[in-house]
Amino acid sequence: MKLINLVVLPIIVPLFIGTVLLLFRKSLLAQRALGLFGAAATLVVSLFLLAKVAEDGIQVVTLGSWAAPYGISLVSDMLSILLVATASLLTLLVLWYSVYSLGEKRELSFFYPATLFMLTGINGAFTTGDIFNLFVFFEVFLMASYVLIALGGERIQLRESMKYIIVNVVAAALFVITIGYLYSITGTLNMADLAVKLGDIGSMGVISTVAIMFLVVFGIKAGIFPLYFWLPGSYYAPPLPVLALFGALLTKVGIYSITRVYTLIFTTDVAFTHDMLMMLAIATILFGSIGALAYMDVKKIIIYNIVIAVGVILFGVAAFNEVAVTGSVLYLIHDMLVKALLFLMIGVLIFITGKTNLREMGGLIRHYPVLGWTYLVAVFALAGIPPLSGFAGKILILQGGLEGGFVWQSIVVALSTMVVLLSAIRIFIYAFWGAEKSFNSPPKAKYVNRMIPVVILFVITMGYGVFIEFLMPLFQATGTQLMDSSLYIDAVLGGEK
Amino acid sequence: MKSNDLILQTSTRVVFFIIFLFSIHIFFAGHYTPGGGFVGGLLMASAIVLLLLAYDFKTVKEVLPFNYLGMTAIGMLIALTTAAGSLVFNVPFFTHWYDYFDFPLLGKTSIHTAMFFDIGVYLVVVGITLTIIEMIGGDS
Amino acid sequence: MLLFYILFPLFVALGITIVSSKIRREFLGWIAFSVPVVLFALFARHIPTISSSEAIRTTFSWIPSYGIDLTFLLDGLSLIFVLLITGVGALVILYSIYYLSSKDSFAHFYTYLLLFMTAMLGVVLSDNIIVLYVFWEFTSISSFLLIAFWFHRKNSRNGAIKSLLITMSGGFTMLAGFLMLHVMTDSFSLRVILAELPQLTDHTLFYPAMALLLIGAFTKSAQFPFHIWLPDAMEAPTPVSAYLHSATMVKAGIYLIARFTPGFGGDVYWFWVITCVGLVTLFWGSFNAVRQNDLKALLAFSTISQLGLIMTLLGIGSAGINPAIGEAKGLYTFALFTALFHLVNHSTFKGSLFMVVGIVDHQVGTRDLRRLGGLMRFLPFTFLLAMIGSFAMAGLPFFNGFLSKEMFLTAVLSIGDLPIYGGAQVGWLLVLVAWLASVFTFVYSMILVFRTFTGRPIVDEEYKVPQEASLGMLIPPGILGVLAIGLFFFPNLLSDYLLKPAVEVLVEDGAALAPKIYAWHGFNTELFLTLGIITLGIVAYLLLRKWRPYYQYIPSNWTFNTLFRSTLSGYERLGERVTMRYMNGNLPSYFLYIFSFFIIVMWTTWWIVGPINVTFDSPSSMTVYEGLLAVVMAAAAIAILFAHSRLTAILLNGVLGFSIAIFFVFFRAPDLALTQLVIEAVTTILFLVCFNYLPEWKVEKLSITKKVRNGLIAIAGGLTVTIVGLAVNNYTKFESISSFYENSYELAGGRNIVNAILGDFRAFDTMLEGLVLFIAGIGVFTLIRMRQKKGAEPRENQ
Repeated sequence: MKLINLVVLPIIVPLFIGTVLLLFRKSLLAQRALGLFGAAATLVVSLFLLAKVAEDGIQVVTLGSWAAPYGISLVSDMLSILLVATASLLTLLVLWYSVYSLGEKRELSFFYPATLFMLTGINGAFTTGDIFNLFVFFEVFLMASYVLIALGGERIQLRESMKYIIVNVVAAALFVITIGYLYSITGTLNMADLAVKLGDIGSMGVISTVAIMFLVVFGIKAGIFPLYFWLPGSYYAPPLPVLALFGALLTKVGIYSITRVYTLIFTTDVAFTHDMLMMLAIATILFGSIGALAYMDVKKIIIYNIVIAVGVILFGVAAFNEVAVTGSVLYLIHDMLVKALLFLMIGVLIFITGKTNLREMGGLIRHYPVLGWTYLVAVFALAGIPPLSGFAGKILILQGGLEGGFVWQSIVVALSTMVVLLSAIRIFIYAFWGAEKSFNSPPKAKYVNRMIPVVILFVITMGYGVFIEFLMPLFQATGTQLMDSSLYIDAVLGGEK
Repeated sequence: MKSNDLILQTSTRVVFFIIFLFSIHIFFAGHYTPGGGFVGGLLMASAIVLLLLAYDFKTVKEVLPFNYLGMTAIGMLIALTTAAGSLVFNVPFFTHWYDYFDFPLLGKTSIHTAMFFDIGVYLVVVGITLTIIEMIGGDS
Repeated sequence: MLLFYILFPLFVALGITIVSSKIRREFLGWIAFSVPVVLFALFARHIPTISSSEAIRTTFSWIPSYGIDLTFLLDGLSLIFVLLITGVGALVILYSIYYLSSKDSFAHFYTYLLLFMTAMLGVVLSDNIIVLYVFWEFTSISSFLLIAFWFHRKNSRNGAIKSLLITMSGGFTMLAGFLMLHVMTDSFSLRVILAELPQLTDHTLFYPAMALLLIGAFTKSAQFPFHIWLPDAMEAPTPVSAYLHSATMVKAGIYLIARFTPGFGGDVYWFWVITCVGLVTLFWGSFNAVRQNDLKALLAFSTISQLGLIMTLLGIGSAGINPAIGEAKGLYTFALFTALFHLVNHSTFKGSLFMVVGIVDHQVGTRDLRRLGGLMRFLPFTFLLAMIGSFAMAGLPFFNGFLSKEMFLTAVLSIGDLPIYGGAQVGWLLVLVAWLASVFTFVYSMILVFRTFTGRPIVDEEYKVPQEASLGMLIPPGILGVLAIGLFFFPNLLSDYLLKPAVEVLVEDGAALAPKIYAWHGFNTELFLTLGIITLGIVAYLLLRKWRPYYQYIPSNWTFNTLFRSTLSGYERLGERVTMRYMNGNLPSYFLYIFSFFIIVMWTTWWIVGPINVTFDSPSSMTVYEGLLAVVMAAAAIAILFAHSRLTAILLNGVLGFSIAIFFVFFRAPDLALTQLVIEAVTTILFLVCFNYLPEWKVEKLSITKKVRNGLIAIAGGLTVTIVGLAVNNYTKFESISSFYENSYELAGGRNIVNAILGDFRAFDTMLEGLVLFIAGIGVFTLIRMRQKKGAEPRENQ
């Protein structure tokens, strides 16, 4: 039997379980068990879907049986499902880590349902084929993220969450306005239909204008220069597992959205729109690089590294050829994995030392060798040292950039790696190698507990690098689908007409 | 919110029920004329807000002694289950179904799964408003 | 098979890590020792095959989708390197077993060392440039770990990070260069690239690729001005310095340049850049070596200088590739040959010298020249070894250094005869530089032996009476010393079996053109130059006290080292300043940035793609009521800005909301109007309910300039959005999908189109918006429930 609704499942499974969780508000056991189960179930269905997409190509479901472009289409192409699967996996691991680390009080304050709802929003945003529905999913995961960022109600959280909310509300308003403008031009919301109609119009000033407006809207979410001001402060506030989720997933939705609209919809004036994106990507890398070395605070260091990665990924998108775009996707998934991993490791580090300032740490390698060495390897992966996970993506991005004739920009990208490496390895040098300092170390058992999900994620991340060849067909399919928008359009509009 | 305004309280009792009934009406009317689950729920919520203004939080809680968050969750589940019914029939998610029936008292009436969905929405809207009020009010 | 050779050390390294806690430490050393010994034997077995100019090749798949395969190639050039890597490796490990103290972690040391061995073998055996790059970075990483082996020392950590930074930056630039090569040739295979490169000299990426590649090679081989990391790398344990930072890793750059010589060699820039950088490095290294007081620092600068020498030779030799060279081809092939010869020689004498210094350090407890002297009496064998090494380094007869030094002078002299590139004009200058550098080389070689081992012994309470080192520490430098002498007497053995096949790889007919090595050439220019070096060198050494103090007048803050350090710290400080400045945590500033950016980017768009059409003839003309309502809304909005109490602001906000509802009525959308009205009512009331809990309303105090600035940005932002709004209204070209919804009754069985959209066509959106509300409710719930009375336990929550 053909399962029509497989595409919907990664969205509604967490939604359903999250809702059920609200009925067991007071049971810690139920929260933990169902929460983990929800994430695991989402992972399982998304893996099924991944297999399906790999086998049969792009999967589409038109909600309510209303043919596109009138109803809402959910579309799982390779890019979408890869991101969905990664997001689900990371949510599962972070939730696992949270069980040991978050503290009962926070766990019972809807942490698990809010996380699952956020996953709903994120998976939905990755999957939807309707630009207004994308907005709605943005609202869903943002609202969930508001809850998560304030979870625990510490003073700094309240202060930062306020800024976070206001910035995002303004961005949302701009988003709706922009969608309204686009609708006014085309009379449609379905992304495939938009692509067809804008393709008919061809290059036109007002469309480029709207394209740039979308860049601003998504840029605020993605954290591109100069729109990322809100990011470091807000991400600093919440507890580490939440930070790991934010760092690994939230900005990526912005990146995904830019990638989607700049490969599917706004492809008529590439010379202008993508050059603008290229400039901003390079500026993002430069400013992120400046920020990453400015801090001695472990959280801040990794947070600024998010910004650099955003620039690198968008560089590949802006170069707009199959190699570069494939590289961007490879790198995007890598970055999700490795950022989550690093944040969790930082979490363990802070747990051990009770400090966040590097200058107050030192000499941990003797007592925590596993954390130390895995951290070092993770840093090398972050920097794209071969054959670890960042390498394949980075090399394709650079190669694509060079093929597109972006020579000096490619060199900037290559050198940004140095800043990434230096900033992240400082943590290792100070905290693990530096002169030994004394801490009231917490019980070893608690440390070991936390290390289990960390090590699992570590192994997955490393496998993603070394055994990338096994996944390469998926990424090549992604590149093909992204650069040949007719595949997407036919999948959505073709069958129904 | 403490208030001893007798006139307000008395009139509120009346008005509350009027609004309540109106919200039910609006809810069902949604199929043909302005209305629906969302606005119906909002109306209900506004009625409760009025109640809160006239009385205090405790009274509201006594009048409507539910687990509001649970109510919201159930509303959500109803909406979701309606939509997910299509999973069972293996038709695209959210595909509604409707038909016309002759009921003894009501005459020819349509049964539309969208209505169940609307019930869910209604419950969510009311439940959330009450939750918020409970929180803010109960805190003082 | 080659892959197995490469991975063998890695597997043993893993094994060592696993069993390290179960077996005796010395035993770990012996296990590690067996690896290079076995590999040396295995590689040596191929000498006969390779010397008949054949190559061995194996391929495995890694990322075939992108042409990245594990292809390995053993030819003449790589053979020299693999024998060095395994040969010196074996000696160094043997030495280290006796060198390391009982406090050091043997397991870590040998793991890193074997990791390095795998990486280095990979570099010189890879045919795929990406794989080469992979191993290249691994040499940097293992070097980093080894330099910081005594990581509790601050200097070790700093040296490690510095070397990592410089060599890895070089690595990344090199990668960019490699990718350019890929773009040019569509291949990652060295063989293909080298074959195609000479035809691609007109490609726009030819010179960028060359430049990036050279930077990679120069950083790795510590060429001026990137040499600064090498002296700091001396913080590593001495066996590591002997192995990585003298015999093998620093020669990776040399390998790379040699490898690419057939591709880039015929180019004039390639020739001059490498020759000049090499010469400058040669001079600068030897010049600075003389002033060092730390024996290892002296050796570091000496290594830099010698690497420069080899580099120079490769530069000169590249002229032989140019077809225009004609008859003189043999002369320049000679330079390439000499480069390889000196490469081997350097590894022998420098390796032994490092080990000698290690012995001194180990037995005496210091390697500071100012506290050393007269050690001859206590360490006679070490003294002998030091003499052999130093004399070879100085280029004295009866040691291998003499031969290659003579040949080097021949090669430099040949620049004057260069028929192309305009070499004849500046040839004499290069000879002068090379000659001067050789004088300095002679001087520091003498310093190394005689200041340490002769003269009055400095008796210091702090130090124990030194004793001769154990046999295990003497044998490895002894073997190298024997080689240094042996190669003087039988150089052609080396030449026939190793050097000639290697030159054949670099130049066509290289083996045939390669010279036979003689110690005696008759009375020629080279001999007189050498005599001059020795004479002036002896004089300079004897007068050392007179002129060495002048070094201190060289401004110390003008070095590249200072430049590096200040760039790095300046960058950090700049970063801090810039970042703190714009990241001020102030929400209004963030909005200022966001809106300014929005305005700028929009107007830039119009500036570049041309203005967009704005007209006011809207299809439906505006009624008076609508106009009035718009005015009311505008007035309310502006009034909010001047509100003095929160209540006023909330009420004015309400006015805005209700006006929108009225607009819906005007546009005949009663559903929306109703919804909007109820929402306005509920939110306004909720606002009022919360009222009591809010803090005092504070009016922001801003200077008038800031107010004007903010006002202008606000107006510009509004204007921008409005312009786009009016413009898009102009471009309505397609029938809207909403016309479809008008058939809602037939389609969805409902007459109310709004509700049909909400509950059916786009019910999914509705459900999700319900979810948004739902989550918002949870948010309020938690915020109020979780209000914390005092600070949380942050540690537990991480």
